[in-house]
Amino acid sequence: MRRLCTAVCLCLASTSLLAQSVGLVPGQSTAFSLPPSAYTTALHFDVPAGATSIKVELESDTPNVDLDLFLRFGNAFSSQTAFGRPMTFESLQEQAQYFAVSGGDEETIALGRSNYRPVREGRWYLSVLNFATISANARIKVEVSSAAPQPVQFDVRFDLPSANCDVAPWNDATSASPVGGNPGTTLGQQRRNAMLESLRQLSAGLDSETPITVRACWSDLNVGTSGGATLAAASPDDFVIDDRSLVFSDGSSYRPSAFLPQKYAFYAAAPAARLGGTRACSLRGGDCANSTDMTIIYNRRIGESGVLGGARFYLGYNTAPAGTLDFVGVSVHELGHGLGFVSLTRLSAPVGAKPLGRDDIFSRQIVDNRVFPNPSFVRLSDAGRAEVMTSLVGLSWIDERAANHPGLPVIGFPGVLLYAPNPIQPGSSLSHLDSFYSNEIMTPTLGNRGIRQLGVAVPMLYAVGWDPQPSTFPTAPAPYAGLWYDRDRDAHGVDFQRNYTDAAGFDIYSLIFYTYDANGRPEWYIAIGPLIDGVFSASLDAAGNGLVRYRYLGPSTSQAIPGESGQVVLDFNQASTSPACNDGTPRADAGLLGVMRFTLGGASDAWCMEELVPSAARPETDLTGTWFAGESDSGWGSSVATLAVGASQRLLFSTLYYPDSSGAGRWAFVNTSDYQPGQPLPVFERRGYCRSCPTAISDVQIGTMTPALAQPIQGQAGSNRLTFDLTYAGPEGGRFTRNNVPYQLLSAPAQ
Amino acid sequence: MHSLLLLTWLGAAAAAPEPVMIEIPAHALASNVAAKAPRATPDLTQRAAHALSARIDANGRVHYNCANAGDTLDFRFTARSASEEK
Ligand SMILES: [Zn+2]
Repeated sequence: MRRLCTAVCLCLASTSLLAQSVGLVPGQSTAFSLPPSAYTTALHFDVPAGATSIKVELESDTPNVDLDLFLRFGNAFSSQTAFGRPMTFESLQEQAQYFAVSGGDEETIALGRSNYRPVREGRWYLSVLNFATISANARIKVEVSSAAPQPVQFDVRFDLPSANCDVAPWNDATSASPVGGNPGTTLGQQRRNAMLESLRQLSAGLDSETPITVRACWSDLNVGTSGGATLAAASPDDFVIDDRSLVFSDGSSYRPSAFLPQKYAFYAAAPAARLGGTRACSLRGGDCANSTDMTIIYNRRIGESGVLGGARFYLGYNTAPAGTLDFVGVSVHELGHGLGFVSLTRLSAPVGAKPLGRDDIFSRQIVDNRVFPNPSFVRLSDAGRAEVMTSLVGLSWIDERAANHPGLPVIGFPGVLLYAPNPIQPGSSLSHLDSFYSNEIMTPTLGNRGIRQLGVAVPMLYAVGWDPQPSTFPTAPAPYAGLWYDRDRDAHGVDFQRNYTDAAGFDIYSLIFYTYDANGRPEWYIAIGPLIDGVFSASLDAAGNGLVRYRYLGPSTSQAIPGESGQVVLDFNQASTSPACNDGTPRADAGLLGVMRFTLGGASDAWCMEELVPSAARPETDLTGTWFAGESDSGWGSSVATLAVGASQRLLFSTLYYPDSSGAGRWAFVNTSDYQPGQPLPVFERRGYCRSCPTAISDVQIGTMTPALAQPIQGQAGSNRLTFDLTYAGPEGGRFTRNNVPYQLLSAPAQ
Repeated sequence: MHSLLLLTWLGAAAAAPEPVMIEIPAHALASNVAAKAPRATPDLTQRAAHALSARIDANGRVHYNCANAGDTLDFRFTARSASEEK
């Protein structure tokens, strides 16, 4: 009891808890000061019914500071973690549905009705972080509007030179006569005008509340020996993915990106900026001075006498005359790739491989149309993808709006055919329309002369992050509180329980991972943290660990072991599309899935988790939960799961977590299909297999347990009692007993 | 109060998350500077780079063809993808 009191007193003395939140008035700039390296979670604004866009602008009156902006709907940001510690940059970002975190002091988030979490009526919450070591005077302004969606605005950067980016041709002073609607009077002016005209054509049918930036360059590109030459090359500047299971060996990973509609798939930078409501540098972090969403490089050698017979770029806006090179058409096509009309599937060895084993959002729209029902391109094997990519007419883009695009010829295949020549054409295959569509600019050969607009590529781009249709605010998955496991890793599992709701409104869950060490000996780890829009993210302890192993030093005295602890995230959103849940194991009969990514001993893995006891099979009096013996005898406890068997029987499965003689966490279990309170049950210790080892299980009885649990109540034991006597083997062997101790639910009772 | 019990069971240094109203709405950030840096994630842009080429036939007609620019460039990230993806 003294320890508790100490903790409470310390807390009251040293940390600030729920602050009074300040409501921002739309249209009015609000100034406030943030101390060095500090954050506030006490800002919100209210959006009225009928609003179609919101824009939050943050800036600083203090020079050279780094301010960051986080936004979410539903409930406020936590002002402290589940450990009572201050929030970190990462824990704020994990709670953000939108964020803007560049290295600078200006951040903007602009959303419309078609974002994954669209503008909606109600209260939106902000957190602002001052990353600088000096105090910052910040200003914030919210604008709410009911205007129509903004056509996408392109900002072209003609002024970002580098070794591969010559910008001098944009300022070439050679005089020129206006041509084909281009009024420029110097070559540089005409080139810039033609670029802007290309972007004007490109923007038709696409909207964005965030401007898209294009870096425009010239360089010496390929001039072939047989007469051909590269005119221009383009690429998205970045790809982002919302995949917490992707961890590199140096511990790095992609930022959480809750703004992306589909998880576990790469999006190109431009649609990501649109969906994230902010510019590339604010999504990526870092410097904004030369950050762009896509780059196009034109061949500086075009026009030389030895290159394409001296043919020149035609800079007029209309159809290029014979013998000239269509600058606008080439630009629209290449920039179409930059907008995300591109697959990341490999076209050279290993053909068919996915980037980092992940889907890209373009490839997710594609099926093999030769088989019914049409298999998804991304679910095929690498070899399967390689094969269908050379099937001539087997690759279909399945989307109603694209298939029904006005003027698109009917071809007798489902959807829209993609280019699938045999043999594969590196770069052309897959990321273009079939050349049959001669009126379409996104064919490998640009289609017929003079095409200027993206055509059917516009509704195709909708599917990769440009969909203008108003969206419905998604409902976060509500995972069952109970035992979860991966059917590939049978006999390992987690007890995932809701415990309380924090001051900001997040449900705080605990996760006990019962597993085996390298020698197959049972061991367990604990995590605690908020469930944020369906993602459980462990809060970090003082040592920076989220999945913690403790050493038991005596009743109610345990110590974290940092060197044996790690990290865990359990994400219930769209898990069926994750690599972990598409590992070849059939799971069609499973209910809600979650992807558990953990790092222990420096190794990361991702498991596909499902309910061990289907929630539909819960008995009327459900004892499911995490139990313990109260604050005076903590440091050990149980997971309990109960299941209705027939009309009158209850199955009980319970895992007991206890310390061995060295204080290391160990576990054993009881299992009965006809649970009777007060009846002695044999306790088994399971010798299992390590997290990356082949399956091997053997059980040995190590004692008896008498669970006399009748009522699932939290906060008091009532008549619930537990008795057990265990004697376990091994060098750390010993005995652990309790006799008729009051036992209570630590977690919230099952609902 | 309940959360305290949980944290005690966890053996952690406990603190109360119950609402306690205060006036100053700012909190010292836990030091975690490294998390803010842009991530060192693999560069996938080479794989996505497209290059549009042209040749002109004997009749002066221009033939366009778009191919992957990345295939002729550095693919270092793919070695990484094979060994480090999960
Ligand atoms: Zn192309």
